[in-house]
Amino acid sequence: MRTKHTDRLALSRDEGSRYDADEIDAVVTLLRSLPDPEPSSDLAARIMRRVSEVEAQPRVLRAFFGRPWTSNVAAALAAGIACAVVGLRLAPLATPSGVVATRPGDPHASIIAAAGPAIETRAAHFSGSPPEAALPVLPTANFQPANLLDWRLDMQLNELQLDPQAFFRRLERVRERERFVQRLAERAARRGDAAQVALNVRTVSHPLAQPVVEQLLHASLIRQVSTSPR
Amino acid sequence: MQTLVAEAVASASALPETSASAISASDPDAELVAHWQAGDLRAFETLVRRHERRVFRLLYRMLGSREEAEDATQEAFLSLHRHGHRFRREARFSTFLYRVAANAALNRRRSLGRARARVEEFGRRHLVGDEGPASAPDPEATAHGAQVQGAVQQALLELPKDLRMAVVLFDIEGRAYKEIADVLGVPEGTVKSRIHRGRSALRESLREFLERREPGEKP
Repeated sequence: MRTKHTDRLALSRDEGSRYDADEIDAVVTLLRSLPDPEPSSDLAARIMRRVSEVEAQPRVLRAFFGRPWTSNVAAALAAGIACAVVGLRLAPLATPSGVVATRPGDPHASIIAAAGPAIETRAAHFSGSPPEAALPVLPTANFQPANLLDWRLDMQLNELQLDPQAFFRRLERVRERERFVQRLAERAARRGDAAQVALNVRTVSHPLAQPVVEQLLHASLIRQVSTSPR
Repeated sequence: MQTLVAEAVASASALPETSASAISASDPDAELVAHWQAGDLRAFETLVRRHERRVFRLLYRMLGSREEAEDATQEAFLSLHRHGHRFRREARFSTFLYRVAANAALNRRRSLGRARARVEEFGRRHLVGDEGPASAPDPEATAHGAQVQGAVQQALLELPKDLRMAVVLFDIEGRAYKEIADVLGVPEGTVKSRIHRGRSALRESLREFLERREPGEKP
C-alpha cells in the first residue's frame, strides 16, 4: 500500500528526488517560521461598532448599500445631493444652445435675467452630444422629495439610468431585491417618470434589467389607473 | 462582499458527509452561533473575539498589509453578521468563517501598481526590520531573519491567489486537506495540486536562500 512514508523511501533512493524533497521541506520550514501577525487590540471593538452602525440603519438601505453609512459618507452624500438639487433646479434654465429657457412664473427667470448674458453650458461645445431623448431623465424643478427615503430612491433611479451596469451589479447583491425594486418602481411612478425610466433601461444587457423594466411599467400602469378619473 | 456569505453558504450546503446535527454537536461554536442567530449581539461579539486573530492572520498572509487585512477582517465579519441567518450549520462555524474570509481575500480587487508597491514596501520594511512581528530582539538575528522572512512573505504575495490560499491554509495555518477543500469549494485533489504548485513556485522564488544552506541544514 502506498503511503507518505513509502513515497519518501522511494524518493530517497533517487539523489535528485531527495534533493527536491529536501528543498520543498526547506520551503515549508521557511513558511512555518513566519511570525504570527497580531491584529490591533481594538479590532474587535471596531468590528462591533460597525455592526452596531449597520444595525441602526433601515433594512432596505442596509441590504442595498451593503455597508454602513458612516457619518463621513453621509455628510458627503448630503453635500452631493444638495449640490445636485440646486444644479438640477437651475439646469432646465440653461440649454445647450446657450439660450436661457424660462418657464412662465418661474422664480428663477428674474434671477437669470438680472444676471445679464445667457448662461453657456459646456454641452454647447460638443457637437457630438447625444440627443436629449437619449439622456437619462433626472428629477428637475419638480423634484421635491417628501422624505429622506424618497430622496435616496431618487438617487438610485438616477444611478439606474446613468450607470445601469453598476446599478445592476449592486442590485445582484441585494437580498430583498424584489421589495427594493418594487419600492423603486413605485417611487418612479409617483413622480411620474416610471415609463420613461423603463424606456431608458430596457436595452440594458443584464438579466435583472427585464424584471426591473416590468416592475417599472407595472407601477406606472397601476399609478395611471389609480389616478385616472372614473 | 455581500456575495461572500452567499457563496460560503452554497459551498457549505454542498457538504454531504456529515449531518448538521453531528456537526453542531462537535462544533465548539455551536451554542454561540445559536444565540447569535437568535439575535444576541453579545454572542456575535464573543465569536468575533474568538476568531478575529485567525481571520486576520489569514488575510494578512493573503494581502500582505496590516491595514488591508484589518479592513478585510472587518468586512468579512460584517458580511457574516449581515447574512449569518443563512448559515445552516452544515459545516463547522470556523470552516464557514474561513470560507467567508478566503472569499474576502480572493475577491479583493486591487490595481497591479498598488499591489506591486505594497510588495516592495513590505520587502523594504522587512529588510530594515520595522514590520512588527518580524522584528527579533537580537539585532544580529534581525538582520538575517528579517531578510529571510521578508523574502518569504514577498514570494508568497507573488503567488497566484488560489495557490497562495492553499499554501497559507495548509503550510502556515495547518488546516487539513479536507477542510481546505471545504473552504475553497474544490476537490481535495485540486487542493493538493495547488499546494504542490505553490510550493514549487516558492522554491524557485526562494532559491537564493535555499542554496545558501549546507546539505541537511534547515533554513
